Amino acid sequence: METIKLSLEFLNPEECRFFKNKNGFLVLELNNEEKGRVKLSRSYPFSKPTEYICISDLEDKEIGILRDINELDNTSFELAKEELETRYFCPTITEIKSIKEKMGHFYFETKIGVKDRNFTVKNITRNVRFAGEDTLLIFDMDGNRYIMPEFSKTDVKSQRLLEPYLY
Amino acid sequence: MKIINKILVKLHIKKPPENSDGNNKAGGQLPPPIAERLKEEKLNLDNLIFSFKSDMNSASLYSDTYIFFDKDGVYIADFNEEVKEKKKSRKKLEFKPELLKLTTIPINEIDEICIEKCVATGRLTYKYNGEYFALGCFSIGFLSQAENFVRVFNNFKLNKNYQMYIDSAKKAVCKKCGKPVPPGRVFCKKCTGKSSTVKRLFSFFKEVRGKMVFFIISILISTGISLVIPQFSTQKLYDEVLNPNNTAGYEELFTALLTLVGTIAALKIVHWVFTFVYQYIIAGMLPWVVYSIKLKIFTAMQKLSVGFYTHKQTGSLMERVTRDSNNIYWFFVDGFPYVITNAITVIGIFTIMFFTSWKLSLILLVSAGAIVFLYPLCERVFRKLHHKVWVQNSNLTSKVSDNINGHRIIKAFSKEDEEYENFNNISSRLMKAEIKSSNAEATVFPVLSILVYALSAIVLGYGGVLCVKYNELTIGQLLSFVVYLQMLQAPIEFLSWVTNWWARCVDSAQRVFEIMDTEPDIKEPENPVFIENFKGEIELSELQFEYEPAQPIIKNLSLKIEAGEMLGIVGKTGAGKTTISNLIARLYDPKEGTVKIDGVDVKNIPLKQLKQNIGIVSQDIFLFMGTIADNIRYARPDATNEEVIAAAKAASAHTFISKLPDGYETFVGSGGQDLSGGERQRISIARTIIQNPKILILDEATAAMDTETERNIQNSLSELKSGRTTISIAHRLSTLRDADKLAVIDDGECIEFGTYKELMEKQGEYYRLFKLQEEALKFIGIGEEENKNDKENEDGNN
Repeated sequence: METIKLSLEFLNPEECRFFKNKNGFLVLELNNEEKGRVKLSRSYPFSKPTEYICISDLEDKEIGILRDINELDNTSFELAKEELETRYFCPTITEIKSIKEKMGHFYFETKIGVKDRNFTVKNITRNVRFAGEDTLLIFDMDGNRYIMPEFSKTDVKSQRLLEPYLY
Repeated sequence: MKIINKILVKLHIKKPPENSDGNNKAGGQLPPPIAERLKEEKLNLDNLIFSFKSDMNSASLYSDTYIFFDKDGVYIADFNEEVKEKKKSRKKLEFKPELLKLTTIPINEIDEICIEKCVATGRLTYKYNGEYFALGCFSIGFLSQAENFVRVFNNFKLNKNYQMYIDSAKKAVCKKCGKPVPPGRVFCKKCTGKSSTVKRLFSFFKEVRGKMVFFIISILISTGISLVIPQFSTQKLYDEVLNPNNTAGYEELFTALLTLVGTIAALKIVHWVFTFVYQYIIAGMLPWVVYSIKLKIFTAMQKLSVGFYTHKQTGSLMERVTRDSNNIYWFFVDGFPYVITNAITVIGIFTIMFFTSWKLSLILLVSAGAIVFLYPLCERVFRKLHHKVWVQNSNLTSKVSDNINGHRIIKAFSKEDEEYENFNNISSRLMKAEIKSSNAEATVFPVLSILVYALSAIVLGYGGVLCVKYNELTIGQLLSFVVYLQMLQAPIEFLSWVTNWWARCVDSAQRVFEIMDTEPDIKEPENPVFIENFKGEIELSELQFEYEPAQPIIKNLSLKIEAGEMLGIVGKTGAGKTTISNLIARLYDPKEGTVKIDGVDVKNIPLKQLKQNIGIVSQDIFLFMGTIADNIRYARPDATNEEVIAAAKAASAHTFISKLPDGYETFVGSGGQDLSGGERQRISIARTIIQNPKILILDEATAAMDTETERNIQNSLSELKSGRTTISIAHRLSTLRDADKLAVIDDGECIEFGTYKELMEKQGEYYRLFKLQEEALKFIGIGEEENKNDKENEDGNN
């Protein structure tokens, strides 16, 4: 069967330039034309964090899609990366110290880098799940998200504590 | 002779007997007594072509009517069939047909035979010179036979091939015993009885034969040793070592004691080792067996056609995959090994007891026999009770799943109280069934225990008498007897309740096998025709279809869609529009007529090729558990991320997806992100777009969307339309503005067919619908724009 050509039109990275305006907001310059303040969003936030980045204006009207922000010039890349990291803030859990259950709420005591972070997860089967092969996501009841990028490589204790809730 | 025949059939030496029931068996043969009676009327039945037995006469009264024909005429014979005992032998029955009326219609006075369907009956009529005459009546159950009769006759009359219809009239028979079976089943209910269920259940163990052999050897050794141990621990100990009459010296006695204790310890160790071995083997073997059972049920369910699912409750199907296979699993893990050990223990203990004292054993045997007799009785009762519990349980599961899926509707109509009431009713029925089952269990088991205790008392009393008064038994023998009796108690108790467990397991297994034995309605063609260059030309000719007997949905529908064309189908709700798309995609097979794609009957196209080339966006949207990207990729898992975004863009889904925090990696489906109806619909359109089908069926695909989104999707789809046959079903006529041809369906028939211009000029049903919608649009103030667009469309079509 002939395969359909579902092709996407991407923005030319050479024509795109990001900079910050005087108030510190991200602005796009496309083909030497200033497009004003823009929002960046990831199509595949977990598996392809730098690829297929949608650029839209403040009214959510899409300007275009960037194939990969790595193709941008260095300054634009750094700015886009910073903007995306702010938007998709997702700290990496390095260790799980304990998980205690009380009345359907799961109290997590974790370590993020060198700092301790405690949070509560409700509906654990839905809010602790894999995104991709080995990336574990945890959503707490306030809407914060945490990531464990290489779950199989984290310490045995953390894996043992989380194992009963993974499916 | 009958018994011998049955045995020969069972041993596969003889073929199963042909079905002797019914008249249509071998091309219209009449039952011999009927034929004999008719011959008395000087009727020549040698050239009989086909016959049909109806249960009504032409006056709509119950009667045994035979309608048959040969090259000279059609005959209607009204009989009164009676079955009487033979005069000489009361055991034999006699079939006595009494001819009430015989009518003959010359064949040249019949142009064609027709059927008129009523609600619960049907009427056979014939046409002569444009006039209709009554031929006979039948109750609706005889509809398919009547239709077949009509087909044979009309094809005979037109000098066409009718033999295939005569052959198709042969009823499906059980592969094992040859008795008629309902459609879709291979074996009759009797042949899927308990013994064959058990046999099939054990056939799952075929692949682990080696392990089974080790398992049985270990279990035999372990049980054998446990039977021997009391011989040493009681009989030998009391009679040879602790016997006060023993005159041996202290050292000799001490050595004998040590040897005895050493032997017992050694036997115990060997017993434990083998017990460990068989438990280890079964623990590794059974999950595999149950895994393969689950896999087989699931595979069988995937093969079944849409019709099967609509006729079964979701709960009952889910119960089969989960609960039933678990019932089988637990019986085999916790029951089966102990059935063997306990059965061996019981047999072994009785053998040893007989050698020790036959008198005491005889008393035991008679009493135990009574218990053994009770087992099958209990089993039958428990089986029925468990089935009742199962039915109520599956009802409850269905109810819960229904309520969870329809929670919005329940809340919208504020029906929580009624739903609670319904749930309460079902739940209380389940409770009652469970109470009955538990009560039965609670009564049977104590009775059996009391019987065993009574036995102990008898043995001790009578044994004591034998021992003291007649000196027939030694103290050691009596003690070993009592020990064996105690050993017997646990196996008998176990066997008494394992029958209950076994009944549950067989009950579950039967339901599991029912799924595996059901033949799908839509089968892979025997001689598949692979279409090399799939173009997508569709031709429907004289199509007839019904979901329920005598309730036709499609009546004699013929249509032709050229490859690459877009056909718009309009019509009232329930006119049969969706059914047409179901028939093209071969989710159902038509009752009459053919669906051809590129000149090949869909029944001959390999199912895989057919499904790959037909994409349906239906009114029912279903998203599987997983990410949005997984759902879009469902039809083509190898699609790249780029293609997923492009398909979503084409379906106007990209904008809302990119706004979601997790983008295309948002988790949807049961328990996932809540999406609106329109959003879900757009994902399902993207799913079809990525499939790249040659035939695209849009069944009210854009009904849940606003006009602007609909327009966006249509613009995208029209780009993708090139080289693709598109069938678009819609109520909103504006949806079909790009259609090359339009078909108006009413009550299962195509009443108008042509281009937009032709139908507007005709001023028929389409014109009427168009005007109605125009009025409605004008009323809400958007008529002008629509009008303008339609005018443009008209120009385009010109």
